[in-house]
Amino acid sequence: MTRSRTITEAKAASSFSEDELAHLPSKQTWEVLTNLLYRTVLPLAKTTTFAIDILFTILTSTSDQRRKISIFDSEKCLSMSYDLLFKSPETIMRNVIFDMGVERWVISNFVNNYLEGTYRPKQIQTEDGYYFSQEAMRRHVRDMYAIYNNFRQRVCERFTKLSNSQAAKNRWQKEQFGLTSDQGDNENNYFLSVIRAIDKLYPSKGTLANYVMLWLSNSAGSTFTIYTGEAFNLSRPVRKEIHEGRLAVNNKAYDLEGAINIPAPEDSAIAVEDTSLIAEVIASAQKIPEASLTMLLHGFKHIPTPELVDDLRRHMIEIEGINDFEDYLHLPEPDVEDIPMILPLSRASRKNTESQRRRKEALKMRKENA
Amino acid sequence: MRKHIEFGSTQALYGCVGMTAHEAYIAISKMKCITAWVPEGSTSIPFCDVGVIDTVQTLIACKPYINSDMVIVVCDSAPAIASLKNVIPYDYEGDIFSNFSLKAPPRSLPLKDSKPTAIELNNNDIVREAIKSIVVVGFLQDFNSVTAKMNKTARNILRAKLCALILGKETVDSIALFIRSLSIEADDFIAKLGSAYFKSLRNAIYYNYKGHSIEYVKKKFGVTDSYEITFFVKMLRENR
Repeated sequence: MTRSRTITEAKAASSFSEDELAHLPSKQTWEVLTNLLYRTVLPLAKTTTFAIDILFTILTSTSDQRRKISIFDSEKCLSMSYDLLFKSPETIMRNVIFDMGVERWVISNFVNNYLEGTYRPKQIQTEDGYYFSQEAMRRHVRDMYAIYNNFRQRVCERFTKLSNSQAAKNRWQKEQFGLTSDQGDNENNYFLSVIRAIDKLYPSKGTLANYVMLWLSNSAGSTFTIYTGEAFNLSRPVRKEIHEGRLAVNNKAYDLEGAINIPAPEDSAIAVEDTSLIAEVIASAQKIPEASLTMLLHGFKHIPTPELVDDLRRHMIEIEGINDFEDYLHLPEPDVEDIPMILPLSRASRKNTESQRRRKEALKMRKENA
Repeated sequence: MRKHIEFGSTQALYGCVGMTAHEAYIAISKMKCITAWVPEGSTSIPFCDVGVIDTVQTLIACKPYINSDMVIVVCDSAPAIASLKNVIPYDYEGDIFSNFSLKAPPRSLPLKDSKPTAIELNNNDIVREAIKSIVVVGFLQDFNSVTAKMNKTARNILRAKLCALILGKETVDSIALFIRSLSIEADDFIAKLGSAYFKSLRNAIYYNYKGHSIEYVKKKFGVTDSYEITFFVKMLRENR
């Protein structure tokens, strides 16, 4: 091929123009992301308990080796966070964002909640004589955060084609085994991974492309995508047990039009003698009154005040029409330990926790019985 | 019809970020002048000496009612005020993305004796401004902005040509000719290829490629950004 022809072809194809700002090298992308986020939260950290709240989130997330949300392992992250508790807000934010490389969504989440009004950090005295008034600060955070989000979005969009093609490939692969899913669902699932990778990027650990490719390959096994004809997702071990006929769980989805013809669930669907954890949880959850379950989900093991008991009693008698409320009070308490904790954590990160240990033991026992 | 007021200019335009318009109005109202508070969403302002306007959008909406005898204090966030030209900082200093800090506002508003200030908006991309003030602008950023506009074939040609240029087998003119033939606006990049900075960067890349340590070449050729050197050395190795 002659040089002139190559140039002509290149010219013909170069008519499209990509966003050059999103094509910064990995280190510079990180610099812009971190600096913009730091500038966004700095006024908030200086005048409120924002920095301390962030630190406590890091502490609770990393304790018990639950998650790895910074570039360090959870033990080091824990000790660094404890050290930072006694430093100035500016030092805390600088360390958290730049040195510890905490995932940026942890901070974004707080900012989102602050802007929505659902998170109100307490005011503290600032060292500066003149500083942002509350309303001016909200305006400042909002506009700076918009710039941060704009840049982040532009970097994310750079990987749209890649993530869509990977999603299509994964969809095709699963279709070969009879698991059909919606292409849009798959694309969203893969794009979530791209966003996550960009939020985790730390240039000394790898380039942006490294991060994105790793996270895209992880999303192949993700259970976010619900397969066509299924009402909810099942994990692979459970799916296997159903397939082998050892467990009866019906996750088939029905159209609303045909809802009247849904076959009645069989009584033997959840056998009492079935010792599997899921069956136990479902069986115990069926016995618990609705209000107690709600309380339990909100972390109240016991009803805290007599006023609340009165409120509940009134609610159950007047609204729900249950008169024999006293009977509920004397019900044996459900075994709280058996109900898995509801935490916003991914499965892979829940290692070495108490519930994980119990789960392993239960699986071991089941194997022995089999 | 004769117009009695001048359009689009003011005596002085101050930008205030630390207070809302109402708070700034309370502070300024102590001064001996006619002060007006213009809340967000207003479309006109009363006759006054000092107008304290909430948000830049309101300032633009009220622009026909502002004359060159008035002093305007516009209260908004720093990124929003950065979109206005000719703004005098009222209670802050420094660049919003690098060394921004608040300072106590002055006790009085100094009036300008020179010609009136025009009320104009910048049409700059704020994200681009942020990148410019955060990232060290070197040769690499220009190179990336040029390649981002190209397709894969053109990119590969440019990479090969740049590698040849670093190794002394290609001329700057040939690269300039190639880029211009693609009708891509890359004047900054072409100008940088002929700059003294690129010459030292080229030497640094070449010597590092030949095996000298990064610290040595940085010191010898006065290049501060080691990332720029390693980026192109990696490119040279891949193109070998």
